Amino acid sequence: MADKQALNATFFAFRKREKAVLLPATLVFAVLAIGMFVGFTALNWQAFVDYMNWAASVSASNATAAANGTPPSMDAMMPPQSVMAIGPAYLLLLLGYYILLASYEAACLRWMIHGETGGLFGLTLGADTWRVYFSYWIWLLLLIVFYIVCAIVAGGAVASVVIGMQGGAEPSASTVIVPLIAGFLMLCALIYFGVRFAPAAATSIARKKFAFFDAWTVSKGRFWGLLGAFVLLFLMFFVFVIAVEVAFVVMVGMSAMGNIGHAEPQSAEEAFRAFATPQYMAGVIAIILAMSVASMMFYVALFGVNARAAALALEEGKITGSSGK
Amino acid sequence: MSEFSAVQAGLNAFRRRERHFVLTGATFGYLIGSCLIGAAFVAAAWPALSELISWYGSVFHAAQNGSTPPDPSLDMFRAVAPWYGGFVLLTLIWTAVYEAACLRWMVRGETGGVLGLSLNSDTVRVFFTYLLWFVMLLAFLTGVGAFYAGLIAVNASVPALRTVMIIVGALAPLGLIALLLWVATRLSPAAAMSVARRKFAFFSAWGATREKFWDLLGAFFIILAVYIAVSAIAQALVRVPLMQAIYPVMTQAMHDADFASIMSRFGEVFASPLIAAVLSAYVVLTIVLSALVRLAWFGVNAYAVAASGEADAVNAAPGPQGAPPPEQSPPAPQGLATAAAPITERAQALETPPPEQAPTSCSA
Repeated sequence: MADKQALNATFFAFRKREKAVLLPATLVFAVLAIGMFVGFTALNWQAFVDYMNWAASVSASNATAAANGTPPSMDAMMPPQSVMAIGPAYLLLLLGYYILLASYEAACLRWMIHGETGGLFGLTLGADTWRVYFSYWIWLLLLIVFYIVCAIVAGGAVASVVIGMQGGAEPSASTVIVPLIAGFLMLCALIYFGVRFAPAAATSIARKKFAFFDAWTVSKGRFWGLLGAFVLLFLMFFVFVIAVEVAFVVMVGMSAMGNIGHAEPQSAEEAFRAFATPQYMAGVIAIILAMSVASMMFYVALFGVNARAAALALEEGKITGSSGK
Repeated sequence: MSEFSAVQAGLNAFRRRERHFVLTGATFGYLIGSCLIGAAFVAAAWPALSELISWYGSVFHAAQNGSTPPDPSLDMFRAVAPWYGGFVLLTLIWTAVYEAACLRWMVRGETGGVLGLSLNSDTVRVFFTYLLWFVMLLAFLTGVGAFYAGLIAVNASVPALRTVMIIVGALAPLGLIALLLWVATRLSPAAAMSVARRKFAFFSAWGATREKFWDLLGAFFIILAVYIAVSAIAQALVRVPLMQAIYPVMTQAMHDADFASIMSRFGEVFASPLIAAVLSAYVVLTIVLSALVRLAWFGVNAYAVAASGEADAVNAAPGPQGAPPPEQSPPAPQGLATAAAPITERAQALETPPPEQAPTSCSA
């Protein structure tokens, strides 16, 4: 086993490499994802229109009923068929979207760990994609388990407080502190296990087989390095988000003030008109673009941290490429 | 022994073996037998069941009319109880027949009986394994009750320990669940161990799973995740036509709440060819999926036994940990060395695991 190397994972995704693979893969992913959502919206456009009409009619029906002092009409409460059908269709969209996301993550990880590419700008429906996709399901199940554990701990805390109050005892500080400590411990557990299993998809790509739980071996001795990288990336992302939003508010606010002419708007329509300007629309488009780019960079950076951890584990012999540990 | 892989363990039941469709045949036999047992139960208990169903219908009727629902008669439940007890017992025996057949094939490479299913000493061992699990669960629940009773008693009698008791009470459920999970996982290959050793060897599973707890738990976790994923996708697919079909009935229900006509409309919807076909496909998928999950579960336990080097254990003298061999256990039909051979082959096979991305062929 090789000596342990420094993680240095925060900006691993943005290191100079021989080919530009991540950018085309990201662009193709973004185009396909937008295409999926646009297609879904187009196919269900009538449902959105029906929903808006239905919401308006429910509101009107409630207002009439309140004015007449009668109960609201049950007929009006029933959403249109197209609205009811959108739920199952949305579930199917999500299934497709997560396959696309898995394909994208697999493409990024394959490139960063093995230097391999292929398919449509790196995106394929190969075995790696399905390994990553199945990792998502394991994450979902782990989340469900976590909620169950939270419920058990909460139940235990409530039961213990009830036991502590037996015999008409006065509430003590411990009846407040114990649930708080239990909540804090659960939060710490969530962070710890989340970080330890974070390189699960990267580990599967590194080992070229489904190896979700080997992420525990990969992250062994690197918890603080990984946590530090994630915290740094989260902080940078949030600072960027806040900066963009402040800039947007200042820019659009000044534009709107200019249109209103420093006077208070007299009606909602007037206030809306003040924002219905080319500057406002340009600002909205700019913020969506900036946030999208930042989000994609954030995602790629997260993939990079996990890829670095898995690649180091391969180098150090903690895990092997095809079989054995 | 090379790496114990959770993925390999999860796929163990579906590995290519020297004979094809042994587990498939046993599963078919089990499903047919289960349907027959269910039908026999309904037929035999029908006079008692019909009263219960009538009462259930009258409750609905009362709810529809806004009248008071009739109280259930205890005699109705008393009439059904013996039949239901017999049904549960028969189902348990039949499940033991099935599990024994699957384990016999996966652990010892043996088959026999009708579609691999036979009522023999392996079945008795597996059945007693179920009973012991049930007894252990009762003991655990009794222990939990005693623990909390003790906690309440200490809390009431020693106020100075109140804070400690609160902390213990808050963390105890988590610890108890963890204990339950740990013991259940460590002993999960109990039936497989009994089949491998050809004697009741429930507690020898503890030794077989030493240092393999997390891998075993991971294997069960993966099986559960696959089950949830496939179920969720199937449900999402079924909901699309179902929602389209039942919407008019739901709209009618909002207009007029005539229970009988709504139920009649629901009956029409579910009898329509498209919905009937979709629901039938869903039911078949659910049955197949549950059968696969059960097989995968048995496969994990068989894998754990094979990975424990049980070939040596079979040749060794009886261990001290197991219960005494049952009287009804017949002598092994072949020499111990021969009996151990399939396990040895399996252990060797584990040394060179095949590519494990996905089973290339499902030859269960």
